[in-house]
Formats: sequence, C-alpha cells, structure tokens
Amino acid sequence: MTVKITKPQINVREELNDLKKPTGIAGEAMLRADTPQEQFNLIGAGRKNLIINGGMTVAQRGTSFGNTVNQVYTLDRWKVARYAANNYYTTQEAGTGGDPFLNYIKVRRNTGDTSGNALSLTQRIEPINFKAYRGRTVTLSFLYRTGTTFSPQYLRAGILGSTSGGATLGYWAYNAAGVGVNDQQIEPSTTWKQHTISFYLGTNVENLAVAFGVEGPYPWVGTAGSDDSFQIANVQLEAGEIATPFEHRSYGEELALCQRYFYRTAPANTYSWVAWGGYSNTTTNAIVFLQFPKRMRAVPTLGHSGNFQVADGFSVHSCSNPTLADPTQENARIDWTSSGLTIGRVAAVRNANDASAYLEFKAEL
Amino acid sequence: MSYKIHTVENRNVSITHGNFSIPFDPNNIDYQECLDAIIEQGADCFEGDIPADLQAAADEKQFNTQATDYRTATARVAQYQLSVGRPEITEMQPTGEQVFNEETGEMEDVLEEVIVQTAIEPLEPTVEITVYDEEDPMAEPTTETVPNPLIVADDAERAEAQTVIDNTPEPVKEHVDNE
Repeated sequence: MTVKITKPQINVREELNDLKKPTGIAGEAMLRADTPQEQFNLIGAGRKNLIINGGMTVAQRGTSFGNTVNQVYTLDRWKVARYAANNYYTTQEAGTGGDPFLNYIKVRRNTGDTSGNALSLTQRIEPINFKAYRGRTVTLSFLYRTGTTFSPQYLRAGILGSTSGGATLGYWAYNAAGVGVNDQQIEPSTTWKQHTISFYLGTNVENLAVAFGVEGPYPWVGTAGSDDSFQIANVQLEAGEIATPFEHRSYGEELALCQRYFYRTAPANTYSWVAWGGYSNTTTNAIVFLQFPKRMRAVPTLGHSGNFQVADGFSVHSCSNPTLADPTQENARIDWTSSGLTIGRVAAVRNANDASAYLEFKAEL
Repeated sequence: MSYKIHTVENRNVSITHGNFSIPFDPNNIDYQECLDAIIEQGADCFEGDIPADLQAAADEKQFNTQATDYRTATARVAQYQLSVGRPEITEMQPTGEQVFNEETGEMEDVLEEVIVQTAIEPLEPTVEITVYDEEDPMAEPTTETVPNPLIVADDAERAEAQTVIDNTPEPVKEHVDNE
C-alpha cells in the first residue's frame, strides 16, 4: 500500500525574516536570560520595595507635624530631623488628578524662618529586610518637587550604609560617622521629576537608610518664603542597577508593615475601648491586657495621650499613668493608676469622653 | 525629665519617662536612650537609685562605645602621614621552589625579595592657589602660597584621633590591644 503525505509549503525566507523581529535591549536581555529567576530579576518582579510606606499613605500619628527640635517621626516610618533648630513643618499631602500617587510628604521651613540649619527626611531599614541584598547594587528611585520659593541651590538625597553606629545613622543622616554614602545634589524643580541613585551594598553593611534633605554646602538661604519646601513621593529601594516602576501595595498591606514599628489605637468615638480582659489587683491599680495587631520589631515603648477610665462591671473610675509590665513583642500587660477600685473585679479601659485619647506602642529603629 | 523604675511585686518591670513606659529591651531605642542618659548624667537623670542591672548595662554600653572609638582612632593614626610619606619595605619570601643544599644535605626554599609596602612620597608642604580680586573681576589674578590643604586636613584628623586615644580609659585600651 502506498501512503501519500502532503505537507504545507513553508517559505523559509519569511520564517527567517520573522526571527529578525525588532527587539529592544531589555527584550534581548530577557531572551538571553538562562533561567526564569534571571528573567524575574530583570523585570524586578515580585515584592521588591525595601521602603515601607514609600507611597506616604499611612499616617497613624497624624498628617501634620511642626516645630519639634531635633527629630520627630511623622508619617509612618519617616523621621524628620532638624539640627539644633525647629521652625519646620511636615505634612501629608494629597496628589492631584493625574499624579501617579495618592499622597506625598512635604517638608518645609516655616515662613519667615532665617535659620540655615540642616533638615532631613529619613527612613532606616531593618537589617533583617536588607541583609539578603548585601553584596549587590541597590537602587533608590523617588519622585521629588521643590516649593515655589525653595531657597537652597540643591536638594540632597542619598542611600547611606554603615558598618556600625546604627543609633546615629538617620538621626542626622549626613553627619553620621563612618558612613558609606551615595548622596547626590539634585537640581530643584517645581514640577514632579523622578530621580534614581544606585549604591553598592557592601557585605559588611549593618545599617541602611535613605535620606532626603537640605544640608551642608547648600543650606537654606535667607528668609523662608511661603513655600520653602521639598516634596517626596513614591520612594522605592530595590535590588539591581535599574529603577523599575513603583510597587503600589494596598493600604492594608502597608499599614500592617508599618505596625511592626508603631501602633497607635484609633478611637472611633469618645468612649472607644482601648484595652480589656483585666482585673483590679488593688484598690488603686487596674491591670488590663492588649494584643498588638502585629508582632513588633522590639518590645515597644508605651506612650499615651488624653483621658481614660476603667470600667469594672459596676461603675467607671478615672485612670491615668498607664505603665508597661512584662511586655513582649506581641502583647502587654498595662497597669493603670486609679482609685476606689474593688479588688478582683474585671477591668476594661476606654477613652473618657475624649475622642482623641490614644495609646501608642513604638518599636522604631 | 527624669527616669523612674516601675516595679510589680518587687520586680523591675519597666522604666517610666514622662508619658512613656519603656521596656527593658536592648533593641528598644528608648531603652538605649535611657542608657545614654545614665552614661552622660549618672544618677541625676534618675528618680531613686539606678538598679544595678541597668547601671551594668550602661557601663557595658559605654565600654563598647569607647572600644569602638579607640579602634577607629588607632586605625586612623596608623595610616601614613601625608606630609611624611612612607618608605618602601621589602621582605624575603619563598618562591615555592626548593634547591638541595649540599652543605646541610637538606632541601631549602628559594627566596626572593618582594615589596610588601610601596613607597609613597610626601606631599608638597605648600601649594599655590590663584586668587581673584572679588571687587575687580577684570584685575589679573595673583598667586598665593598656602599650606597644602590635604596635609592640613590629615594633620587635623590625626590630632583628633590622638585625642580619642589619649582620653580612652586604660581598661578599654588593654581590652582592645589584647584582641
């Protein structure tokens, strides 16, 4: 039996021409990659941003901060420091339609200020999060804009690494001793611009931070006008020598990341509960317990503000001076000073007709 | 504002500082600031006695800080002085080959002279700079001889490092020198 097979004709020349389809450098790099991991790295896929709250959306402490001498935490994870002076203001601002971000941070000298003292915006990165990147180049990218009356000749931005001295790195970033730095002077711009800075992260780097500000050879000049500011958005630090598009994380994800370092109770009304599940162990001391929403970086410091009261199932009593006892990274026993308590009764603490009262837990770097 | 110990059932459970309650955790920056205050101000920063374990932690932190500063300072002073330069140093090192010594009857390493430290010439003590007349931009610039700024900076850094070394307590020096 004879079997006849027919094959479609192939135009070899056309097939070869198809192989010459134009590709860019990036495309060729993808084709040259030997492994999926290499391709993954080339496009910066996956969780890549080492900066927390780079989008400036999370603001547990509030959205406006002013006139604190030396240093203060502002939007979550972002610390602003002014050397030996105050007269500065930091705010969370909303982007306008068309901006590639929801929020940005604005740091400015107060109008009329005449001090040239340095002013910086810094975020320190927890070693456990960056140590896997040591021995490689990392790249910082961000959007920046300067105010209409920005007085310095340049804005300064950089990546800072040190082998020791972690406590000082980021306090006043540029004066920290023994710091390896790639910081750059950037031309002011009243329109948003992107800037990128790369930095070889040495294998011995133990502390890492990014910083923006006005300092050193190019200080604030003269009397501050109405908008002597710098504004920063979409901050990203990632492995590799190329800045990839900003990684937008959901608000919930970003808040959870922030709460490893700081957690403040968020009262919904004038009698919001802040801690419960306790009892009175004396007539003047109530013990309550509080579980943090996330395991914190370190055992946190407890701070408080406003008026509170303890409820014992029968009545309420004013209470004050909350104090930690046997805290861990996950929870705390909090002792409250009160009066007229009955030993053994239950205890729960709430705001006392004060919608702004809060407890806060700080485990910042 | 002073620090105060909070106790529960005779146990020290936290440190109170104004509106803040600070845990005994070395990773907590407020705890570290408390140690710094003890180092700088001693008992003046505390209401009541400083607990022995807290004082010991402050002493240890101070010791470690001084040791780190001492290491950095000694390393800085050990660098060659720009105004002096450094000599070439050579050393006889084995090449990896061996020859038979007929007198001793043993194989011996062949040695060659190797430079282990290259020479660096001292910098010129002075440099000439061109000075422009700020009031008369059209005037011919003049030349001025000034101390070499690199040497000036080097000498200042060395002096600063030497001061750190001189001020370091002996026990710290002994600890670092015996490492």
